[in-house]
Amino acid sequence: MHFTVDREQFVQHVQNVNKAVSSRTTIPILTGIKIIAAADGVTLTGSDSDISIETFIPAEENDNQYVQVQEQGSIVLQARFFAEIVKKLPGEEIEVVVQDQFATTIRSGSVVFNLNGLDPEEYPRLPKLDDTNMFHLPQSLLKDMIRQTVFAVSAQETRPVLTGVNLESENGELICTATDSHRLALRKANLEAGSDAPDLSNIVIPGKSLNELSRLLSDDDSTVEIIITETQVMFRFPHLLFYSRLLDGKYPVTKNMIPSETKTGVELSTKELLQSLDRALLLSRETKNNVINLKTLGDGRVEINSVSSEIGKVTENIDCDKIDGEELRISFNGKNITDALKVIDSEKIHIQFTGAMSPFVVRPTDHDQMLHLFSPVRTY
Amino acid sequence: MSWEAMLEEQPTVMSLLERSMNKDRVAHAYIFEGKAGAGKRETALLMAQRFFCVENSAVPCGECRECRRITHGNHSEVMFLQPEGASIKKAQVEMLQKEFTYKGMEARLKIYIIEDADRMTASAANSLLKFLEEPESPTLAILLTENAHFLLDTIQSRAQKISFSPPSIERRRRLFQEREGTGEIAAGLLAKLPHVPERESEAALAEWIVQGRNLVIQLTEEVHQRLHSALLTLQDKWLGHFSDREELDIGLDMLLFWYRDLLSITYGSDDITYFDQKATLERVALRFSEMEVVARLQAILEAKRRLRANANAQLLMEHLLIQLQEGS
Amino acid sequence: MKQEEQKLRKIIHIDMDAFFASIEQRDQPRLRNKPLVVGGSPWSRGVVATCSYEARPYGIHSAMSSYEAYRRCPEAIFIKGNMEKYREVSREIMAIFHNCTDLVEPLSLDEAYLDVTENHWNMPSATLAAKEIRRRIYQKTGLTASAGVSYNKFLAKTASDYDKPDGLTVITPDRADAFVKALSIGDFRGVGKVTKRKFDSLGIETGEDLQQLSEARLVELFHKQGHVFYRQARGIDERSVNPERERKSLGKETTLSQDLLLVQDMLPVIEELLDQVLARLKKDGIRAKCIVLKIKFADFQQITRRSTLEHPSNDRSELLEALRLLLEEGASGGDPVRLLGVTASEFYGPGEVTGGRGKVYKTVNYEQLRLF
Repeated sequence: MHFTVDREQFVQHVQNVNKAVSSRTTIPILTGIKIIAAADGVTLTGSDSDISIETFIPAEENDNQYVQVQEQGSIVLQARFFAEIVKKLPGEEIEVVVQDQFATTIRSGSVVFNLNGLDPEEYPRLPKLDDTNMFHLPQSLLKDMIRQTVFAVSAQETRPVLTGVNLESENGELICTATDSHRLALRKANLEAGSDAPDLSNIVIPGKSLNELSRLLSDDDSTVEIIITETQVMFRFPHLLFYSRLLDGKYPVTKNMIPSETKTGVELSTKELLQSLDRALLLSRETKNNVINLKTLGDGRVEINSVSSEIGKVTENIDCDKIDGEELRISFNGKNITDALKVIDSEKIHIQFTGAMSPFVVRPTDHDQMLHLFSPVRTY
Repeated sequence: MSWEAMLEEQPTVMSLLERSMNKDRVAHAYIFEGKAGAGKRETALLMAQRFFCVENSAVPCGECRECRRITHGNHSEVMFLQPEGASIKKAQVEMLQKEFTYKGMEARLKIYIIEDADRMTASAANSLLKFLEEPESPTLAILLTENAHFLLDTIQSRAQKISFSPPSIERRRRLFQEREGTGEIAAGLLAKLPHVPERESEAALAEWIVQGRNLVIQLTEEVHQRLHSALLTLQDKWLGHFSDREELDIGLDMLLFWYRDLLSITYGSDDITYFDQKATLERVALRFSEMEVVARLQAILEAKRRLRANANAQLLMEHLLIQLQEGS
Repeated sequence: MKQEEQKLRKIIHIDMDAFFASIEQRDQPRLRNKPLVVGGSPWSRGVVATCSYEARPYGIHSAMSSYEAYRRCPEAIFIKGNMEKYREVSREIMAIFHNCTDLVEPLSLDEAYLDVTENHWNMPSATLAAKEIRRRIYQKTGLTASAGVSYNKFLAKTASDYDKPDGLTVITPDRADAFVKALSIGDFRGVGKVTKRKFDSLGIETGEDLQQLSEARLVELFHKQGHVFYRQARGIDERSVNPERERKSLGKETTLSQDLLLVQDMLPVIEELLDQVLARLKKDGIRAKCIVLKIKFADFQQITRRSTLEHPSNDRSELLEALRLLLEEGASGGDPVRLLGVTASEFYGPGEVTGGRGKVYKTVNYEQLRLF
């Protein structure tokens, strides 16, 4: 293998793939970055086996020449040293040459590094791209969908499948669900007309992977392609592929958990409720149970209160836009509610209660693409 | 080590595994039990290679990318667990379990190999147990141990136990000779010893064995000619070198090998431990009848027995030297 | 309560005589007038639960290993006993106590404190009440009990021991001092082997000797327990008879069927004991903040190791992990172990997060409901 590459381009791409490399891997070869030089450019791969990032530096793009490949080939180089080295090289260009036994020379300006490489054949093979289960979304929308669901995944490993966000599709809609069995966040999106509606069910992407992915997503409408394979999901950006392994196991069926009837309905300002709960949590946080009590008052207000046996008590009344149905007293984990309120961008919400011991639903009033479901806390 | 070489070393084990793999009747968990050097780890690797080898023939090639990745620990679907420090800890088993909550990175089958499985802490073993009970995806677990009895009963009952024969002396000799600072002479002796004592390093062990061997040569020379010198050597050197019961037992074994060599010489056999002493051995062999050599072997075995019964080391050795001199 | 008021209380301590053994002798005539040991078989590593008075001259006492009992008296009869039956008899006795007064504090199946200052029988004399109780017990069960009567628990209990079996000892306030003076040091509450040795080395043999030590000196020697000794020596004990005395701890132990050397072999036993303790904790809806491991080695040396948890818990895996660490600390020396015990203590109710100090608001219990 022998190629020369634009230093600035190379440094940036190496840094991108290096994000996926972990020093705490049990697979020795994954401490390295894989480099493939082909006629059309250079491909770099980094992986911690849970997520993998692959980037491509084209030989030529927009009349710029980035890479000159003298001899095709591949190598794996220790990420820790390699990433540091390329950053500190002095020249405009970097020359990489692999000789026998994976011995690699990196040259830039008057500097020469000789590194011992690893056998690229031993690097794991990432799944082949397959267009059958492919669709695309605007990056900003995907970013929102992740932000509005991933907070609700379970932090406990006892039911691993709940540590991920579930993807499914139905009638041209993409549905993301996350739940830790006490609360559930659901976000829908219409798949753009024209894109082949994929048939998805039980695709569970680890929350951790989505948080990583989120950092790569831009806030504009440029699209990202999503490709699902049997064992991994891929997100394709221009010149960058993000892979995540999928969680194994059956995701719970959540559709029938969402109640249809309403016993008490409350409509109020998202921000006011959030601020009120934040204040009440100041006390209940102390006892680590985050329990908040809510009761409807007859006069179009709800009372929020919280009691801590050590510290004291807080009570606050909030004006609501609308309260209908039965009187209600209910207790819940206030932290779970504020987590959800923080990702609701709408000004007003509607809360659908179905009794003091039954789940309740929070929805924005201005669209039906999102809902949050909570189970109450029983007090006795 | 290749499949064929292992088949020669452990014919029973290998043909058993071969049969179950050919018939697709592989258990989901195995316990490989056998002495150090018996080839448990190699066999586990061969089994894994057999599943992933691209050649897809009856015997893994050991050369292809998949086989090499397994040998080097680079295969994402073949995982190893070994003691960190003195034991295998719960966190390690949990790491392994976490790996299994994902769909395979490349393939559907996942294999994990636990070395020194008896060194799992109780909580690690309990965590593993749950996992052995309900593997969610196709899994092969191979637990390696020198003594399966040290594993939880509940683990033993969930796995198929495969007993490895002790390694052949030739294989042990080869393994010892690969060690740091261990020469041909030391390796030859170590391979024949039933127990190898602990030393701070492999080189120190080899050094100790070689010195002990020199003492055996000196003692056997003296005992047949100048008993008082032999008694002096016993006092000055032997008892200091073989300083406790376990070491003295090894000293007696080494002495035993020397007299066994006398018999080998008499029978014209090539199996000689003290191969560089052949001239001396031949000279001494002329002086003793077969019965006289056997009587001395018995005296050494009797001394070993008395040693186990807590006899005083010095008295026991003095008594033995006199018997070796007189041959009765 | 002032000293003088203290002396107006009327406390009875009742202790059945060789309870299990007497029941067996009552029910099986062949066992009467013979040395009888109720407990484990000498060949199965059991211990003596009770022995009949005929066995006591041989030096047999409860908690001794059955084998040792056999060694001391090979002609003794060993029987396993029938806890169900003993519990039944105990209920009969307790019913008699409750017929007399509401203030009954059972200490075990065959032993209780009664506060009869006021009683349902309207007896002004505690001595008469004690006599009546003993009479009713004998009438109902055919068993004898020893009773001690005085104005506090310590004196009542010491008195019941004074004339055993079938005795009744009364210590009136004016005789208390003489009685305490005459006690041997081992009779005081809280004096075990170690404390006894310490007293021996100081030349303290009797209650009278004990009275010579100042409170400060006693505290210096025995810390908190020093105060207790000081007051006991003066016949003072302010503890009231508490009918709902909370269990302070809950424990299970077992003598192993064979001595164990390896921690990993002991763990299954620990798990089993823990499960028994947990079953009880869960039934009562309580959690424990402290877990104690008891190990008795083959040479009868005994150690206890305790672990205080961050939060009260009744979570099996959490407690088991704590016990495992204690076990590795206590039993990895390779000495053969003959008995293992697990005790939970420092209990918390379902809603209590911290100790019950200074609660302004009523504790409320919470349960996070699940969606699925």
